Amino acid sequence: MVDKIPRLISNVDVRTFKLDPTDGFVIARIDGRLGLKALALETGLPEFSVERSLDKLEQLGLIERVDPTASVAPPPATSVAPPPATSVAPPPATEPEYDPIELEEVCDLPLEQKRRILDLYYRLDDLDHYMLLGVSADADKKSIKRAYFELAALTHPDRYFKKNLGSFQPKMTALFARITEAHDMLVDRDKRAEYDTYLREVAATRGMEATIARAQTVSVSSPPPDEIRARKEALARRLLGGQTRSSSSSSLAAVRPSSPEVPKFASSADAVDALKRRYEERAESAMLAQARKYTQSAEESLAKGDLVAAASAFGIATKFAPNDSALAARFQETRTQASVILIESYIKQAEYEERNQHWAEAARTWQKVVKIQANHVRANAGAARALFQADDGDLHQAAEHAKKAIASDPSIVASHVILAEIYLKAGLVASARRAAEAGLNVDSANAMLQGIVARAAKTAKATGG
Amino acid sequence: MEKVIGIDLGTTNSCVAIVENGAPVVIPNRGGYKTTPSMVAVTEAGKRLVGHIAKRQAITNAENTVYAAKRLIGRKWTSPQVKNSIAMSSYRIVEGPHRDVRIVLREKEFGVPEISAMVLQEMKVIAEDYLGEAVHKAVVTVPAYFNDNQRQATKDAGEIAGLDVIRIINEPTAAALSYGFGRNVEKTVAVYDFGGGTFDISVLEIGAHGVFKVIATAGDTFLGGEDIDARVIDWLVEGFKEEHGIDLRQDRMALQRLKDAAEKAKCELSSVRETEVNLPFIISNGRNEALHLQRTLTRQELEELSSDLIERTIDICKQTLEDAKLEKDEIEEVVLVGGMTRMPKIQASVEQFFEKEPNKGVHPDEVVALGASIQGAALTDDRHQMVLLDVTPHALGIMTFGSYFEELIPQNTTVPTHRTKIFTTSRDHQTAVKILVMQGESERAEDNELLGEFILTGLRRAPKGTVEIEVTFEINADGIVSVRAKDFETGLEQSIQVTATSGLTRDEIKTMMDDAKGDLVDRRTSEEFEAKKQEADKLIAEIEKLFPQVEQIVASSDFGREAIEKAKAIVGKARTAIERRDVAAIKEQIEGLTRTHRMFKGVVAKT
Repeated sequence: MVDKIPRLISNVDVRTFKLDPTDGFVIARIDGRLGLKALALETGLPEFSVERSLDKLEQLGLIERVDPTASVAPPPATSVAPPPATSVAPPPATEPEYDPIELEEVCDLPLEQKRRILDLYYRLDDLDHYMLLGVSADADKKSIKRAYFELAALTHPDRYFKKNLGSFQPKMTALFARITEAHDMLVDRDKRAEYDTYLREVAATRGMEATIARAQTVSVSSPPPDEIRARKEALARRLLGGQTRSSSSSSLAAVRPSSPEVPKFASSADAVDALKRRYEERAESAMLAQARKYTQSAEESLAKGDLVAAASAFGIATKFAPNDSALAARFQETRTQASVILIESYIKQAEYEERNQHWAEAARTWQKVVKIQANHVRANAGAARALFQADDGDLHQAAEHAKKAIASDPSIVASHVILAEIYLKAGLVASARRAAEAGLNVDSANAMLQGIVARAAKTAKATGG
Repeated sequence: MEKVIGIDLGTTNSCVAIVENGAPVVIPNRGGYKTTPSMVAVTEAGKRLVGHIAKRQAITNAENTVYAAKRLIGRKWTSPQVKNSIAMSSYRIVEGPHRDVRIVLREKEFGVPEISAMVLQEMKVIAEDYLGEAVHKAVVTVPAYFNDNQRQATKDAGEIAGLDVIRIINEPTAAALSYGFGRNVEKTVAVYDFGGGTFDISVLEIGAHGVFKVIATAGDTFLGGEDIDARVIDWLVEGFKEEHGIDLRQDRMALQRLKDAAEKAKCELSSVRETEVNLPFIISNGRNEALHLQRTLTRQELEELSSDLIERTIDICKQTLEDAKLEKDEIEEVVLVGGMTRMPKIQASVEQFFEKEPNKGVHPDEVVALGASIQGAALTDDRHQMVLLDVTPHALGIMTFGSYFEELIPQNTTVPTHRTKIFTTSRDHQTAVKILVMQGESERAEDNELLGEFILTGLRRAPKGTVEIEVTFEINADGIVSVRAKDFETGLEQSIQVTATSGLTRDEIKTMMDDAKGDLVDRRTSEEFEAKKQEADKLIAEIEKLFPQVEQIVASSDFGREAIEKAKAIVGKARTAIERRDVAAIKEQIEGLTRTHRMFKGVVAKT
């Protein structure tokens, strides 16, 4: 997620507002270019306090926060919303994903036709059947057919019988195959139901992914405790004019609710110390409040049975209260449960994709499982196989997945076989041989591996002599 | 732009059409008929006859007259359908060198595509005469349920006839194109096509943007009007046998006369309630007495004779709707195609099944050729924005261990398409696999049609089940099937394009094409002969009719007697020329005949 950049709203007199020094400090540094992190560095304030100031300034109408890249505003970073409904988002109006030079190819197609073909072709991997046909998820048979006919008339090779279509020919054939697959699936009641289940699965996990992504953003914007401590010390150093102090206040002490203190200072150093402590206390109590807020949100999600949202909220809460071991335990517990759910869903999706021979999609889905559980043997092996099968699968990644699958469970011969196959496909004969030999240590009778070793030896001999 | 004709190459009749000024029209033959019998004959003198001429002499030359060759095209000698045809046909069918079927006419063997080529050539000539220019390109229709071998054989026939068959399309699809042409409709249409030799049912969607999408297609390539004729023949033969104890089947000429009479009776019963079959002197008995066949056939009797055949077509319709997952009420229009749909009982059965009155707005004999010409124009002429999305009528796959058929492309898959499946070795240390490409619906490989085969060698010696072989089927828009097998490990690849499986080798097709070239000239001169012969025959007949009168008038004078002798000589010469089939001589004699005729008429008129 991209940081939004705070920008001053002109024609507003800052002096008419009641601002505390932190706010004042922050607003003085806002120049329309610095983001949250940069402002934290500039001011030496922890990011969360800058964040809080910015929230306040925004509420007061003094600043606005704009996304420097996207025109669409992403959801607020701190809200932990339940996953969005299963409806599928319309295709985003993005920049063309093809190289405009491709439009200049000389062939018998009108320019507009070329543009539509390229536009669809290069987005094929990202479009579900509804989006590809340009119909809504609840479209009836008739509108699906109408949409299909329109695209079929565009992409069927007979439309340009015996004409020169150049590199557009294979693209049109691929498009025609995909729109026909989409049509045939969506007009068949049973197949459509199965596909919709798959899409719901995807949408649900996508919602979960978004939840997790937001939780991760929060973790980025609130630095780990070590960093906070380092920052505090840096601030103290500056306030003390370079005098070093050991970080005496243990974290536990800092978290302890502050008791009102009489501001009587023996020296200026004491005064600074007290100021610093008060500031810290304020910050710490704010953090605790946040932690409580997120814990509550997590409990609510849990009550609704939304484990993923709960895990995310707990995750955020633990960052505000890093030393609450009970909270940490709850986080771990829900996270494990949420992961199980996510992984189950991903496996269902990947299996469906494999059944329909959509290897690129299957590879991506398996990789998502790996992201959650890096040593998931089946997902690593699945990702390796899918990348191996995909038309332009990344063989390097495929090999990495196969290696991970082997590292997690070296006793599974299939992982060795796929690794050897990947190396072979990539032309790395020596590596294929090593992989095959490693596999033979597990199952010395495996004929496939024996074959690879034998052939690798032959190739080595041939190139050597 | 080069003109593309559309040809409906039918079992009993063929028809040719072209799109002219944006509208498809049927081209009539020289006799003014819009359809031409798909009949080919070789006369005693070795001349080839096609169409009406062939049909007219069929009774007297039954053994050398081929009809319904379409039922044999692309079929293997061993197929039950061929066995069936052998029993039913008056011409001789023998086995060819590639387990294919050959037809013997006057001691010469012809491939079935060669016979069909003669019909296609006739259609080509009809179009050329009409257009006044040479035609090289054609769209030819075949029954939807034809398999790849039959389609390929039909294409071969086109090639032999000197036609570039730019596309083979299905008859019911062509009918739907014709039905939907120029109408801005979005409809789901069922085409019920009951022709002379085949039955087809197709369900199509006619949609916006000029798109015609076939949803499902099915049929029976050995169920047609001919089978109903056969029932009538059986009925006549059995009746005759009961009465006289003689089996008329033993006599080829009698059989041909029966065939004609049965077809005629069947057609008549579409408009009348009963008809008489009258075949005098059909055969003679042991005592050399001539026997006559005379029976009355009622419409009801005909319906009883053919009821199970009609039932079969309805069963196929039912199955097709089930396959397409369509309810009867989703069919918005039923289009009737093929001569048999004139039969009231068939119309009623279709109406009863689909629960709606069938559309009779299209001409059942012409609609297919019109559709073919429309497809020809759509492919080659940018002004006709029409796209036909056709399907595979049969499943495609390969034979696997244990003689099983493993399907790769299911029936009713929209083309172009491609599918991949991974297979493995079935024996230990197997170093080669044979890929048998098959087409059909049966799980047992032997029940399906073999389209071609190839061998992938160089596999690693390994226990069975360990070597992976990837098999890919691809069908392009032309319906051409290519199959590729790839050894995953070695990357070795083998592929074939499924062609030239019509039982003829490429060389044979080439030879036949060369033969056909000679034949084209041959055919044109023989047409001229027919024309001149007719002219001469007519003059001779008229002269001979006047002879007694003229003889009476001029017999008194020497001049008159001389004139009579001269006239007799001219007629005699003309007869000889006709017998010798000498066109130049006939032309010469026609002049004399015309003079004599004029003179004779003058003599008669003066008195």
